[in-house]
Amino acid sequence: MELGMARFSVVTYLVAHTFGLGGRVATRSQVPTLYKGAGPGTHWHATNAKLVGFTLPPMVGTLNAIVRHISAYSFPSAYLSFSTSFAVARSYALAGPGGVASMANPGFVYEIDLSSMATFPPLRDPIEQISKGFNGSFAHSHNGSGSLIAEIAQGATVFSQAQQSGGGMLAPAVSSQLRALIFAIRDAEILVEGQIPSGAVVKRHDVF
Amino acid sequence: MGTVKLNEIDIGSGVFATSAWLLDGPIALISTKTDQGSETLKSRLDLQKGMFIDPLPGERSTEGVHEVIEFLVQAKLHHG
Repeated sequence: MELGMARFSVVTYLVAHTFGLGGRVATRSQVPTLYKGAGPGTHWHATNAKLVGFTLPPMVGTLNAIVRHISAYSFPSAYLSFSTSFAVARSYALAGPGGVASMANPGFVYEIDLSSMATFPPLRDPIEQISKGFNGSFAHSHNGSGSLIAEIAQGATVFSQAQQSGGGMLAPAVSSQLRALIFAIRDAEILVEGQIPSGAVVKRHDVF
Repeated sequence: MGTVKLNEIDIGSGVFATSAWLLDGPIALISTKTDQGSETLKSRLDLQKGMFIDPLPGERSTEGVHEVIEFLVQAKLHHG
């Protein structure tokens, strides 16, 4: 009977955590500590997620939504962005629509530990999702030089021409998927598709 | 970190960038005004992604956003 219940729980867990886009399922021991920056004047600055948790508007998560969230705009979105890096989260918290963070009006970095929760929402690794989402093509492909990745990461909009087969030089084509991959790596970004209960928000750090 | 005055750069939909705070890392805070009134709105701009993080009215023009970024990248170089 106990074995049956355990099997049922595992099946329920797997179904719940792979619903939607699917993907590798993070087990409890694999869930990293997550951080989210909230600059002055932002929603999660005015709303204390340590008291109410993180919530999302009812939207459907898709591959296009992931690419859009990372490389175009993040509101509205079916995802909540987090980073495994405190430093990255802090950089987002140092300013906001309410101005630059200060001692009197600090930004916040939330620290989230989902591993203590009985259930938790699906975590989406954007690298995995984008990479596997383009059946028959490769999201990381490009026709540029070896410096292209660094140029994209530095925010260039015009890229160095690269030699092509046959000897011609061409400015490389850069897809939104490639840009999203690079920026997701830059931010050590993890997307969460669902609500995060307040109990998982273990600390709210003041930063300025 | 420093403040940079922008020359009312048109970033689309009647929104103009007027000044910026350069922060550590790729994020800058942009102060804007609209042609509809004197209200000042601020939004973080990711200089590497070329993307405003906090909502501003209307749509952003690619040219305007690039002009702001170019200006700020040069300012960062000069500030060291």
